[in-house]
Amino acid sequence: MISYWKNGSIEQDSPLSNTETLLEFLRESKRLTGTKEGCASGDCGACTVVLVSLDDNKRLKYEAVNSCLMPAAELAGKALITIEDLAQGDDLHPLQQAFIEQHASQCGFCTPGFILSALALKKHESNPDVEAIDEALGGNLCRCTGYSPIVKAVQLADCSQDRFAQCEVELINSLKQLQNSTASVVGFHQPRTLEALCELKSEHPEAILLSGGTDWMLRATQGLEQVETLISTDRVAGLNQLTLVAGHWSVGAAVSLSRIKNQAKASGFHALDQLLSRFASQQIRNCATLGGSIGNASPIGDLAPLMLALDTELVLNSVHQERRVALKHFFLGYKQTALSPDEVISQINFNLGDQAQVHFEKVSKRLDDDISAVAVATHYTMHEGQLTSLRIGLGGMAATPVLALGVMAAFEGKEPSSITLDQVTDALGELTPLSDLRASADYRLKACARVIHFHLISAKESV
Amino acid sequence: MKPVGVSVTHDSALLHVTGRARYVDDTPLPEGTLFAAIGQASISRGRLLSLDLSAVQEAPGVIAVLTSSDIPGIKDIGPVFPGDPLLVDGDVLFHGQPIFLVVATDEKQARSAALLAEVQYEESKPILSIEEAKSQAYRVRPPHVMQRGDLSTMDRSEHQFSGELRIGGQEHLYLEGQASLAVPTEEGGIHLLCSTQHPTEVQTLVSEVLGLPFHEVVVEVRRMGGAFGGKETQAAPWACLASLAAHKLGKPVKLRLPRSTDMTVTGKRHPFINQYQVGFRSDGQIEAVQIDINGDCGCSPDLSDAIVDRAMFHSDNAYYYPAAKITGERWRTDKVSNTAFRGFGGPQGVITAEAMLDDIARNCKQDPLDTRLKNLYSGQQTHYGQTVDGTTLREIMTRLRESADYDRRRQKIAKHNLASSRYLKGLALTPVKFGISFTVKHLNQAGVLVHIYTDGSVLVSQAGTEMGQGLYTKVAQVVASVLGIEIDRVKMSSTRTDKVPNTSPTAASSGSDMNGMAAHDAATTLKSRIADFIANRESISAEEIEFKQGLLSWGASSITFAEAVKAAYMDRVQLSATGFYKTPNIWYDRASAQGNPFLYYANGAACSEVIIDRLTGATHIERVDILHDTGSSLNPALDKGQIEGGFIQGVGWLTSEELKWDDKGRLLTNSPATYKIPAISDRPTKLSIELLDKPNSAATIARSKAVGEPPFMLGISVWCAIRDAISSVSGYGISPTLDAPATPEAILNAITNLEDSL
Repeated sequence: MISYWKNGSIEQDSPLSNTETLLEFLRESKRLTGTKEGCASGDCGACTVVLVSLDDNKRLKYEAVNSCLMPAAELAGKALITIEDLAQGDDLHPLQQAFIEQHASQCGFCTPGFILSALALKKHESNPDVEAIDEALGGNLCRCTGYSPIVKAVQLADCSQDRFAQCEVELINSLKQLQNSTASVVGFHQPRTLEALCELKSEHPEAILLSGGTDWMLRATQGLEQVETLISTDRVAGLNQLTLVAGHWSVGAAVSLSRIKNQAKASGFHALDQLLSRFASQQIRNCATLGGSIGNASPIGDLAPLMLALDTELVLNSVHQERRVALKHFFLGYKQTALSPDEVISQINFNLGDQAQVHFEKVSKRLDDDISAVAVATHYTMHEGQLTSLRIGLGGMAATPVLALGVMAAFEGKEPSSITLDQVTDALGELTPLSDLRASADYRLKACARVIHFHLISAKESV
Repeated sequence: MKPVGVSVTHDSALLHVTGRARYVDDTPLPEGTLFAAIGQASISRGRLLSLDLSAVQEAPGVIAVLTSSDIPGIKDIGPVFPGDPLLVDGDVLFHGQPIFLVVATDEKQARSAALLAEVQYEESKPILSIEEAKSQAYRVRPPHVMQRGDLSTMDRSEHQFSGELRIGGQEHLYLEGQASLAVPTEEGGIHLLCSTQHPTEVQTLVSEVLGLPFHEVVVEVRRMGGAFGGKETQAAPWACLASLAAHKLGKPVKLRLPRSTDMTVTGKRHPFINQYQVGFRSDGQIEAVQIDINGDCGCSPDLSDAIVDRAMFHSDNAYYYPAAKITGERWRTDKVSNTAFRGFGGPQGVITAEAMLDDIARNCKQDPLDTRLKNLYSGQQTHYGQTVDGTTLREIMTRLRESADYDRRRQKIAKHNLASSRYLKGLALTPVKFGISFTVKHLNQAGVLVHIYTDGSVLVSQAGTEMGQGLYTKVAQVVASVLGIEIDRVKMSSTRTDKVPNTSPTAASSGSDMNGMAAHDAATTLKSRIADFIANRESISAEEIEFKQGLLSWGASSITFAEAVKAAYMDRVQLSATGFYKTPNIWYDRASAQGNPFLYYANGAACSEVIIDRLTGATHIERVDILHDTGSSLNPALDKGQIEGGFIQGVGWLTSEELKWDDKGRLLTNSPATYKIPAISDRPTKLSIELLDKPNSAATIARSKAVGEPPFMLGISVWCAIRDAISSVSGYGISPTLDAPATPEAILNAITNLEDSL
C-alpha cells in the first residue's frame, strides 16, 4: 500500500510488485494513458511526470522524473502530477495553451512529457533563459519538431498563477500529513535511519540497494529481472545531508545529483556544475545520487573521474563498523568495488583547496543525455609557473574510472607551456581503452590526449 | 475567413497537450485481451535445426505459442517482391528475426516466456558489408542504369576527380513504437487498430496471411506517434502476428514491441557507399559524371528497388550533368531489411552530388556556392530525361545568399579560423531539388469520402494517415474552404480501409497533394449538389450562390450552411460523396531509363554555420537560414514545422546518429541510450525559416507544394559546413574525406588526417 497526493486528494493504492514501475502503475492499474512509454529506459522522456515533495525548508519542490525508471512504491508520501492533472475541463494550463499556440506538437507522443518537464522548471524559475530550458528539457526527445517551437512555448507560458500555485497551501499540508508515510509493499524497504539501513543490508546482503535506481531499474524493465528485496535509500535521513564548509564537501550518498548541481552552481564550483549539466538528464539527475553513481562503478560514470581527481574519500558503513576508503582504492575491476555485501556507502567527502583549479571535459556523440566516450577531470595547482600538484581522473579509458598516473607523474612540477601533445600521448601509454559502439580505442586515446594537453598548456595560477 | 493558406493549429493539438490523444497502446482494451511477444533468432544467417518450445508453452500465463506452421495463408509478406517470411521458415535471414509468437494473459509474462525457447541452428558466416556482398555478387534485385550524353568527354575534361562517400543508415526512432491491437469479428474477420502509414497493405497482408477475403479485415488508424517511413511496410509483420493470434484464439490480441526489439527487428534507412568520377573545366563547370550508387538493402528487397532508384534520380541534386552514367546496385546483407525513411534514397543521392560539388570547388579554388550556382539547372534535361526549369532554385539560392549574409560571413570565418587554436568554423549553402510523385506510377492515386450531416457538420474520411505532419488539418482546411464553412465544422475521421478502399501509403510527401485534391473533388461535388438544389428552389442559377463564412448568399438573400443542408436533406439530396485524384502526366520507362517521373520539384536551400572543436571533433550549429519552396502554402505554420523537423532529422542522420553492428551482425545501438537522435541542445543557436511564397506551376491543390521529405535534405548543408571547417585546416586547398555520420570521431579523424598530411 502507498499513500500519495494526486489531483487534490490523498490516494491509496497497492503497486503489484516491488519492481512495478510508476509508468506501469499509471498506464495499467490506473488507466491513465496520457503518460507515454517511448523507450522504458529513461532515455526519451515521454513518460515524464512531476513529483512534488517538501524540501528542508518545507517549501514545495517540483521535480520531473522518468516514471519508467521509478518503482511505484517510491511514490509513497509524495505528490504526483501527470498530464491529466493540468487542465480543468476546457480550462487549459498556460503551458498547454502555449504549446498549442506555438505549434509545439506534431505527432504529440512526446508532448505530455515535455509539458511535465517544463512544468517542473517553471515552478522553480518563472522566467528561465534558453540555457535553463535546454538543461531542463535535455532528457525529452522529440523526433518531429526540431524543438524551437517547444522552447518558445515554454518561454511564453506564464505559470505563476496556475492551478498548482493556487493550491500550494493545501498541497503543503497534505505533504506534511504524508511525511511519515512509507510504502508497504512486499520486498520493498524504505528505512529512515542509517542504522536501520545497515541492519536491513546485513539481514539481506543479496538485496538490491536502490539509491535513485535509474540504472538498476533497467534490469527490471529491460532485463525482466525480478528481485526479492529492494532497499531504497531515499528516506534515510543521514544519507540526505549535504554540507560545504570552507571548500570541504561532505555529500550524503543519497543526495540527488540535481541538489549537488544546485550547490555547485551556488558555490561557484563551475567544473562540477558543468559536468552535471551534461550528466544524463534533469529527470535522471532528480533521482540519481552520488552514492548510487559511485557504488554502481560504471567504467564511464562522469562523476567518478572528477571525484578521483579531487582525491575523494568514501565513508562505508555496516552494522559492524564504519570505515573510510579512498575512492582510488574503491574500484577493483569492471563493476567491482571494495564494498562488502553488508556495507553501504554513507558519505562522499572531498576538498577543494583554495588555490586549486578544476576543469572537466566530456566527449560524447551528443551534448544532452549521452554517455561519454571519454571524460577528463583535471585538478591542479600552479605556483610560480609550475604545476605544483596535478591529479587527472579519466572515464572511458579503462575498465574502471582511473587516475592518469603516467601523466600526473610526468608533468607534476613541470612548466605547463613546455608540454607537447606527443609527450601527453606517451604519458597516457599505459592505458588501453576499449573500442565499442561509442568510440574506438584510437579515438579515445587521441581525444583524451588532446584535451589533457589543452588543459595543461592553458593552466593558469589562481588569483 | 480563408481556411486554406492560414496557420490553423494541428487538429489534434488540444488532445496532444492534454494527454487525451489516443495511440494504439492507449486504447481501452476489449474484455479478455491477450498479449503477444515474439521469440527471436540469435544468429544472423543459417538454418533452424530444432526448435523446442516446451518451456515457453509451460511458462506462467502462456495461452499459445505459434510458429510458421500455424499460418493458414501466405507465409511471406514481402510487400513488392517475396523475401520477408512472417516467421522464420527454415532459414534465418537476420539477427533478431521472429521465429515464434507467444500469447499470454499478461504482457510481461509473454515477454519473459519468449526468452525460454531452446533453439539449435546451423550457423553460416553472415555477409554484413557492401564490400562482401559485392565480392559475392549477393543482391536482392538486379542493378539499373540511367545514362545520357557522351561519357567519353570525361577523359577530355581539363580536370578529373574521383571520390567515395560512405553514408550510414538511420533508425526512425518514432517515439511511439510499433503496435497493433487485433480484435476478431463475429464472422471470423479482424478489426485491427494499427500504427501504420499503409492501412491497405496491412489489410491485404493480414487477409492473405489468414486466408480471408480482403473485406473481412478492417484496418483503422487515427494517428501515429511519428512514422517517417518506418511504418510504411514495417508495421505489417506485427499487425499480421497479432491478427494471426487473434484469429487462432478468437480473442483480442495486442502486440507492442519493446523499444530495443523494435530497433532490432524493423528496417532502417539504407547505408550506401557511393563512388563518383567527374570531369570538369577549370572554371568549375561539370562536363561528365559517373556515379555508382550502392545501397545496403539488408536481407530482402522490401522497397529497395524504388529506394535505390530514387537515390539515382537524385544523384544530380540540382546540377546539370551534360553526360552522365548512374548505376544503382541493390546489395544484399544478412541484416534486417532496410526500408523507407523520409527522402527514400533521395538524401543519399543528393549528398553524393553535394560532396562532389565541394570537391570541384576546392580543386578550382572557388567558393563552393559559386561552383553550385554555375552548375545549377537552367532548362536542361536530367539524366532520366525530365526537363528542369531551375529558375525557382536559382532565385532561392541567390536570395538566401543575400539574406544570410553569406559572403561577408565567409570572409569572417576564414579570419576566425586563422586566429583560433581550438575552434574552427565552417559555412555552406546547399540546395535541394526533390521530385514529387511516387516513382511507382499506380500509387499516385487517392480517395476521400465526405459526409455532411443535417446539422451542417462535416465528417471526412480519407486515404492518408496522420503521423504528426498535419495532413488531417490540411485536408480539413481544403474541405472547409470549398464549402465556405468554419474549420471546426469539419471533423476528420480515423483512416479506415472500410471507408476508403485500395489506398496508397502516406509516403513520398504526397499526402496533402493527393488527399487534398481528392477532398477538393468530393467537397466540390457536394457543394454543387447543394447549390443546384438551392438554385432550383430559388429559381436562380447555381453560379450566383456564394459559399462563404458559413452562409450561402445570392443577391441580397442568404441562409446558413446548416439550413441549406437541412433543406437539401428534406428534398432527398445525397449529402455524401467520394472524391478521387490521380496524378497526371507522369511516366517512367524502365527499359530506356527515361521519362517524366515527377509532377514537379520542390525546392529549398539552407545556409548553415557550424563550429567544431579541434580537440575532440565535437560540433555545434551556430546559425541556419532556410528558404524553402512550399508553393502557395496550405498552412505556413505546419509547413514550417515540417521544414524545421525535417532539417533537424537530416542533421541527426549526418552527425550523431550512428548505427553499429558487431561482427556477428547484431545491432549494438539498439536503444536511445546508445543511438543518439538530436536532443534539444542540438538545435541551431540561431534559426530562421522563410517560405518562398510562389504558386506551384503544376496544378496542385491550391498551388501548394509537398513538404514532408524535401527539407530533410537541407540538413546536408550542416555536413558540408563541417567539411568546410575541416578543410580550413588545409587553407581550403584539400577536400577532406568525411564519412557520414560526421560523429566527433569521424571529424577528429578527418582533422588529424589533414594535420598529418600538411
